[in-house]
Amino acid sequence: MALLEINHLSKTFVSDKEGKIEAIRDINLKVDEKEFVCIVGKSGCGKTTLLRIIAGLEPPTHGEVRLNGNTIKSPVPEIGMVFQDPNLFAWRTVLGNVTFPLEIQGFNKEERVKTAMKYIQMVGLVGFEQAYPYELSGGMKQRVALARTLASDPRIILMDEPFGALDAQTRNEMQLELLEIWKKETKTILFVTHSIDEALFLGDRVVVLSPSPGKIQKEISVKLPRPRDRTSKEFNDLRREILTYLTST
Amino acid sequence: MMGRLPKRIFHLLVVPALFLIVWGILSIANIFPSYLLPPLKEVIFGGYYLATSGELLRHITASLYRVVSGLTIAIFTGVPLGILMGRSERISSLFEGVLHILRHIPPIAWIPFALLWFRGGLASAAFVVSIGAFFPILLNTIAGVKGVPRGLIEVGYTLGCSSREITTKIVLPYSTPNILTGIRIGLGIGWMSVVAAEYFGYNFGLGALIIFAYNILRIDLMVVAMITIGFVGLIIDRAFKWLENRLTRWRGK
Repeated sequence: MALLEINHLSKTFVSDKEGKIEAIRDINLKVDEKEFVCIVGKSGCGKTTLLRIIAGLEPPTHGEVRLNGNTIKSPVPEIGMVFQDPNLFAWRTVLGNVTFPLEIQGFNKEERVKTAMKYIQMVGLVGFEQAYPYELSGGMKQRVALARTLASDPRIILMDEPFGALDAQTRNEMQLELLEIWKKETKTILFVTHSIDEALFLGDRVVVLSPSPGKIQKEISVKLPRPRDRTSKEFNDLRREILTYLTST
Repeated sequence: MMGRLPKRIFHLLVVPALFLIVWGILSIANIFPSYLLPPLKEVIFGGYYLATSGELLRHITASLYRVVSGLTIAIFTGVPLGILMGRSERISSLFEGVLHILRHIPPIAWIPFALLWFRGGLASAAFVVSIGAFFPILLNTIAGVKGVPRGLIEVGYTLGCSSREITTKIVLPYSTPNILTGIRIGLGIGWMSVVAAEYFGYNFGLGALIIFAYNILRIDLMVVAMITIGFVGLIIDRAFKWLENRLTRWRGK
């Protein structure tokens, strides 16, 4: 049985002004333990809605999300989420942000700091433990957000364009680091992006969504060895293939 | 050439100095009777007497004690209600109507009731102060709570927070800058309200001093009390502002 199962998931928003808007239609997807799955699509294709439903932040109109067979109705500790906006707690230091989920889970102070330091080290922020979010760059903030989610120890991490607001170089560095962490921590990652390049660089599988309403257009397994060479022929063949799916609608 | 700071201090002192000079000239010229404009000299002597005898300090501490008591009541009622109203549309609509009417009744209008209900003493004055301080604290708390970005609350839920933890660990700390601003405004209004509250039935307090001086026609002491109210008000406002900045350093510049 797959770790995460998405069955016939649909979502229609109803608003007074604009009437009904169908965000996603009949999405079916299975994600196995330790898999890295990327969902790629244009902005407004319902990628974020899909992740929010999986996270339990939004109820679906039809269908269901199952984690180990149990239907998700509200946020659960097994599923963590990293948003495009780092959403850091501005009144807490880097260390305070990363210890936050451990505090919620009731660990004592010593354990909290020990675990938090492990993840702060993992995301390369040693020396910044006592810094406040306003003192950090965009990339550093997103690293803190990732460390905070890792500290809550979820089995699945949902990532909603986490590197979308970063410059190209920082973005590439973060992708490499994320792969390192994913290998080390053996997490399952579901990563949403509008960048084909990013999806191909990261994912074991790339799921292509077509817009309005969001439907699965195609699933592609990426068998290239990591770290992947973005300039190789195989990489670019896949890039071209995905591009044709994205532009065909 | 003067540096920036001496220049600023110079600017700050120009108007008060001119004011004192005009006052001094008018006193010497003896144009107005002393009960309309007390001579500057008398006010200085009166102030000196009240300050050195320790009497002025007793009046100040009496007023401050009542303000702090009233402010404490206002904080412990205004902040929790503000959080509830900011978090829940239903609770908000339940209280909104009544509160928006009560808000326009000035604290001084409550003085007779305060005397009837609490029979004078600390409780009466503290009650009047708490009415004055309550609304700015409540309204600023509501504004702070409503301003919490949805993303922060959602992050809280995905990190395992209960609804209660969202309030105590995310909403409350996020709103502290607003709450502190509300408390500082409430402190200012409370300081003004206490003077009026002390007009009736008090022996000590700066308001009591004004009425006492008025009754024995010591206009100089009246002016001393008024100037003291202004200075103490300025000092507590600045002190609180300093505390506010220290507590919210995490906001950066």
